[in-house]
Amino acid sequence: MKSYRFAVNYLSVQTWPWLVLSLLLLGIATTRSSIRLPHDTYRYLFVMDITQSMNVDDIEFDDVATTRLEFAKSVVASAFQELPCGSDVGLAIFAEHRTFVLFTPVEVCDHYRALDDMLEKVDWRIAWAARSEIAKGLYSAIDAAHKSDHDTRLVFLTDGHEAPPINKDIRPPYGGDPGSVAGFIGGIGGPVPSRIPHLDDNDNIVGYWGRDEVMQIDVYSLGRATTEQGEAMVGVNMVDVARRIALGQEHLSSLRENYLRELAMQTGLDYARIDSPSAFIKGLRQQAYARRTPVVSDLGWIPTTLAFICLTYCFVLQPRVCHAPTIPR
Amino acid sequence: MNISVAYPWVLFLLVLAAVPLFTAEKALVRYSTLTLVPDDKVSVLIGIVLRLSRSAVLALLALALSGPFLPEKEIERIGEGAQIVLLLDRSRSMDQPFGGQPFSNPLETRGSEPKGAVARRLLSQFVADRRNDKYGMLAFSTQPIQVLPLTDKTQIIRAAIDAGNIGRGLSETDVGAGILNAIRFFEAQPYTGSRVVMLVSDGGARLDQTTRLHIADMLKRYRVALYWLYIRSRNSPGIIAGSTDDTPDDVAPARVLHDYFETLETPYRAFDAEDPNALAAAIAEVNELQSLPIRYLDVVPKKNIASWFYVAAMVLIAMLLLAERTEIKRW
Repeated sequence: MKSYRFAVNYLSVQTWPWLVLSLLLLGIATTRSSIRLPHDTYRYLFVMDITQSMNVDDIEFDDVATTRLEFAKSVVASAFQELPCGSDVGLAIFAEHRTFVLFTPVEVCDHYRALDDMLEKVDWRIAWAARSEIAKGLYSAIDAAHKSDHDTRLVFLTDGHEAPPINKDIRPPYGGDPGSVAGFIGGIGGPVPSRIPHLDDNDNIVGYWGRDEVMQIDVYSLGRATTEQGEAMVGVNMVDVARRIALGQEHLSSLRENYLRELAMQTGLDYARIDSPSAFIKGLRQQAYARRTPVVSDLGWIPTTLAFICLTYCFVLQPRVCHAPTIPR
Repeated sequence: MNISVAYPWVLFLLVLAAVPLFTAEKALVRYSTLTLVPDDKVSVLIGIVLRLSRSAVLALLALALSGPFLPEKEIERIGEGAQIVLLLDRSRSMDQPFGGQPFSNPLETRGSEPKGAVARRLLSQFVADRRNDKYGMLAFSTQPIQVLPLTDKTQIIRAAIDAGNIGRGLSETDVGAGILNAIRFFEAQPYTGSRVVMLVSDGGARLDQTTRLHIADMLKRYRVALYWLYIRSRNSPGIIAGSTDDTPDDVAPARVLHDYFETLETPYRAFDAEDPNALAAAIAEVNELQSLPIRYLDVVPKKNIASWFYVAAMVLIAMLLLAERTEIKRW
């Protein structure tokens, strides 16, 4: 007890132990502060819908009317910036009825420039066919994510506009296990049906898709195309086909949330409407999608802070005690 | 050199660093006649230096805690390496078996390696062997799809090559548009060294005269060499070895294309994937090309410089420790 009190007393008046201690702490901070700690990182495959309905500019972003595709690109760009280092991102595009993977996930910080450059090049023009079969595209995206790595999460950015339309009763079947791949469908687009533009080589709007230019109802409802024209198929409601075609709204496009929710439910994905980059990042950084991977983290701030406290104490707070001159006896 | 900090709010600690400048310097020894001693210039100077050092130590640590770094920047370097655009055929036909493997029944396709897989394997080896080069990648079928801008990060190049393993190929093949788009990679780039478009494809295509002229013109204008890594389909005649002139042109579109490439004024080489030495030959060929050193912009990644502050702080602390030890505390 006595020695303890002596030590406290000694330390409260002496400077050198504090200096030595802070030297040691700083030594630790410079040499042994990098530790591999398990961290939440993410591995995402972003699939961008590049079909023509994504050219509708019904999104207000930074007070400017932005096309759905531009908006999708900017939220993904912000994800490249905001995801923690050690996370992997890959990029794929969807058109026609399938997902085409550009590259499998790579580390995001290290490849930031290439990723950003590449995202810039994603354009509706690289679509290889002018169809938009969302359900099939989604299934192939799930398959791609599954093949890439078991902990790859899928983010499928789309407006949910199926072209040609699908029959409510005869959906493309999902062959995989629901929930085999985690992730979410990101809904992009406005609620009001808007016209889908025709664009020229410089992305100027030169017209809009007209009522008679698109298929207004699904192929099944049109009946058999074989021996007897328009013969009804078993189990397909063909009532009022002509009227349905006349009243069809398939040349207009809005975000079809209900449909995307159904697809999400069917495949075991989540659904989220994306209306701002920050909401998107928040969606990405969910605990449910995280994986624990060892990431080199620098803990140098801990010993440094301690050293800072020691030094502040001995430079600023410590009383400088005067010793009475010792008188030789 | 501009230094940035990651956590600017930590810099409020700098206020504390100013405190040692203003604290009264107390004499540790009380001695009646000490006040009578005249001011010693050297001692005063030492006192000031010690004060400044204390303040500096705190300031340095505050700066170290704020996460100082040098932002990423580009510097021009001179080195060796070519710029290579990989032009990879991702059409459906690439999913069919490769011709360069033994088979007993020409119609039996099970268990054989698809051409696409052969192509990706060769490309991976090529990239692994020549990692100093810059690579871009373009996949082509109906539309050329840019997969990668020119980059020297080998990992993402591999990721792009790997991506071909996922899913089937796309429907059609438009070699002409693919080559033209590949050459356009070099459009905005300064000529810094050898440029190669490496076509990896299984088949030929009939290019119309306009496209032919256009390709020849573009290759010449941007000084690009064209390499064709030919992946032969099963049962189809090769382009180089074993192709005899008695095969009619219409069953050998690949040879028609090859013959056209041969007429180009710019360098052209074809490599047959069947030939086990083809890859080595291709690599050697690129080695030949890059005899001139190339200038390129290298990105120096952002660098954490907290350690500079640590070292400076430690030196100062050691000095203070020395001063403290030599101080006369009692007599």
